[in-house]
Amino acid sequence: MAFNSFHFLVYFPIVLGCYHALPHRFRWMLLLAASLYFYMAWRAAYVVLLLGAILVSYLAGIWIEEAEAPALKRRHLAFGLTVLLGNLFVFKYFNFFNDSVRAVVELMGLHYGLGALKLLLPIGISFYTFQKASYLIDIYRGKQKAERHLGIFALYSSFFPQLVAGPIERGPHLLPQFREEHRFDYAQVASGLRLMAWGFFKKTVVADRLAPFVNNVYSNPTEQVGTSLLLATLFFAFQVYCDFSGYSDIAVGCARTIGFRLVDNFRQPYFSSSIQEFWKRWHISLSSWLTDYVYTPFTRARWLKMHWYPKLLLSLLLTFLVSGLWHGANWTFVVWGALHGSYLIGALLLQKQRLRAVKALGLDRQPRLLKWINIASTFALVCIAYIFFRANTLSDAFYVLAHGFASIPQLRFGSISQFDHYAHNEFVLACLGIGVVMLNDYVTLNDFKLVKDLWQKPWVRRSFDFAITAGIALFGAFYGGKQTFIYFEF
Amino acid sequence: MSIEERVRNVIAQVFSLDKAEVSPTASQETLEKWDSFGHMNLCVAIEEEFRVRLDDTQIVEMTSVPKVVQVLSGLALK
Amino acid sequence: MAVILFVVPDGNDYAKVTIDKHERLNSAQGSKVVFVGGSNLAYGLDSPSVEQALGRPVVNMGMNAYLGARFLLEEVAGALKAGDTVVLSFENEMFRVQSEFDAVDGRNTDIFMMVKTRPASWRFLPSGSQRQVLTAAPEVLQLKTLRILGDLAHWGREPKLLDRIEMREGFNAHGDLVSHVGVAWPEPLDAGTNLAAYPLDPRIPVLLREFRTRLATQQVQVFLLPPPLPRGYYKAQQTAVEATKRELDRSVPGLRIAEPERYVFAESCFFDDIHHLTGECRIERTQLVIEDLRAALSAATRPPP
Repeated sequence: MAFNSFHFLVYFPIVLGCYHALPHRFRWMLLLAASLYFYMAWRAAYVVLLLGAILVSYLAGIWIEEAEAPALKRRHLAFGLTVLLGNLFVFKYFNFFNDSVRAVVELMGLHYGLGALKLLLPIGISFYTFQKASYLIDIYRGKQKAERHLGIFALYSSFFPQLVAGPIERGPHLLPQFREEHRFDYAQVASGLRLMAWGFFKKTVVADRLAPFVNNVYSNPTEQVGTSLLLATLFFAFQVYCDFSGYSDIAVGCARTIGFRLVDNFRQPYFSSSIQEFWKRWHISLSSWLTDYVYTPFTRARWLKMHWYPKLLLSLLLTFLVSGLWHGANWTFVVWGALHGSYLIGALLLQKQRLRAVKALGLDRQPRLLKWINIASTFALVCIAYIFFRANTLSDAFYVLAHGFASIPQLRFGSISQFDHYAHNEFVLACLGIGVVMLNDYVTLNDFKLVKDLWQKPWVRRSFDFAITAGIALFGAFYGGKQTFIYFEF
Repeated sequence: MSIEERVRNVIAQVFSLDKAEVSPTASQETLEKWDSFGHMNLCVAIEEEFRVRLDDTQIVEMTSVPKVVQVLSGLALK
Repeated sequence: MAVILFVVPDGNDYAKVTIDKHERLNSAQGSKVVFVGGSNLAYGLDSPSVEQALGRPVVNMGMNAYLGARFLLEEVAGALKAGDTVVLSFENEMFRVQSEFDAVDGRNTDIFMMVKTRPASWRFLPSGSQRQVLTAAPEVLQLKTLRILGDLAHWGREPKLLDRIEMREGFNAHGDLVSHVGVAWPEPLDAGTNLAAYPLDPRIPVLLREFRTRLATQQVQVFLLPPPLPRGYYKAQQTAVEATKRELDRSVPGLRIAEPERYVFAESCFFDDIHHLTGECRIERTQLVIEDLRAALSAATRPPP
């Protein structure tokens, strides 16, 4: 079930109402049923995979904990991880891997007989696989006790607010919450609903409005003007942010209405002053997952014999390659990951030079200017990487990169009018929407006292609620945006 | 200068802080700039300052001023 | 939001002309001739001439092809008596599956506007469509809000030329649009749809055949005339137009009473797009209509050999 669907609009109030009406000891049953229903609403058959993953993780977790010898513990962990990651590999990466191998084999003039698998990608598989993997690893490391109650464990593994698109919740953070009794708290429910509304606003008013334009341009970039490519990339940066953070907001808000705390996934990432900072503010649950389960273990790998400094750099690169691949089974994602890894490595290696340049330009005496230059350049680097993230093929990406850059001198205020497949209204609305979202981020980031005081007043909160709801109803991009006024001017 | 003082100086320099802001018990938890990236830069600076070569386990251990001092004391310093 | 939807006036009152057209449809005395189709009929017909030539009252129902074939046909079906004649003139886009609108069901938002303007028109929708039209309300609300904001942003600006033409007062008593007579359109002609890019919609001939059969039981004749087209456009789209013609003749033989080529005019005969004739050329087209109708009517009354 998608969050922005009529189905959810009916489903959620029912679940919310039943949850608060039921006594605590039955609530987990309701939530489990609701979560499985939520998942089956996508495609019923794939719930089998999810249940399989749940069962395997449940058993593996108990076996790991009960095993005495470290070697046995490791074997159980390997078993669990192999099943989980193997499942992920087959559904998401087999064809990609197969095609790449085929390309190499055929390059050598040999015949490659293995065909592609025709499998549909089960929704949320990347998220729930990583979540269960972290659970098993945490048990192995002694940070988590194996959950013996199958029902509670199944609920943790399929909890509907975060099942499909995160945040990726760790066992120690989420599991205990299912045993806490959540008392009905009006302010909490209101706050959760408000967060959900804000998420819907970001998604329907901004992300869904930008999508057709971005899709149009990126589906055949070679037929576009340079300035279109540039603008589409910029738009994509806001589309993906509003889409993803909107979705996370809905997830966190939804969980909050039933008394659960999920981790923050985004913290005003486009105001980061460095790529380092960016990754502490963007998709935080994934970054921390990768840090704990990929980066750190790799930096401590005894078998890799090199000086710790290059080892850390290599670990960084590897972690970002994994991140890239996690996002999608395509070389474009791998390059995206590699780019970010290179940005970080470059930043580390060129630190002294950077400081010297800053001093030479006198920018160290202008901290505010320096900060904004940093924010702008970080955003630019992120956008460049997005070209690879969004493009369908590597050659498309390089085309966009080359022609987008080349067109910078031709950028004019009226450049947008050449896009006649994107009505003027839509463009204005999209920009206004982006402005509203960025303003909100800026205000949240700086925690202005004036805003804090205003927010205490109920009428301010109520106006905000009304404005957001009206905004969604009046400006939500539900209709494809193709309509122009013909004969009937409404 | 004692090892501890030299360590605190290096920390102050790497994280662009005032020497007074780096207490004898400063750690990754108390100094905001001492994150994983900061740590890398710090370790490089420590290696340069004390002319030593650190290994993996030592990098992982050095999470606070006292711990850094402990690690360095165990090495033959110039 | 209901206020915005229903109380705040619409951008133009083009839709209101449906009230007048239905008035005329229901009050015409004698065996009427009813023209059904899109705006090609609104812009391109001089009904008084037809009335004079045929000696029968004429009603021009043409206003907007986006209402879809089903609505356009149902609009008139109930008001016909024995001896009436229906003349269809559908734009070529209405025979194809294209992205602008569904040829059979039309565009939700447009039908919503029609029903809002004339609630009695609700009856013309099949029951499935009735619910669907309601769901157009949020979209209409959005479009209306955008239009209101746009108007506020451009407060004091001169109304666009088209706004001064496409309005209720621009129509005569017969249902013809006359406000464009003597007006020159300042911009070049709109290019028009590339028909060849879209497949034929198999439902339309079926719909037409059912309509004709149904009306035959009421002793009402149905004929189809091709829409007017500019020469350049016709040349470019000839294959597609011929294909439509062949399909029609195969499914509904005898419905079509003229060749598409006959209704090809010079580019200068068109107003703002390839469907709309100018004030002068509509007279020319009407002449052809009269000739073709006369021939078809007398052929129909001739006893079979």
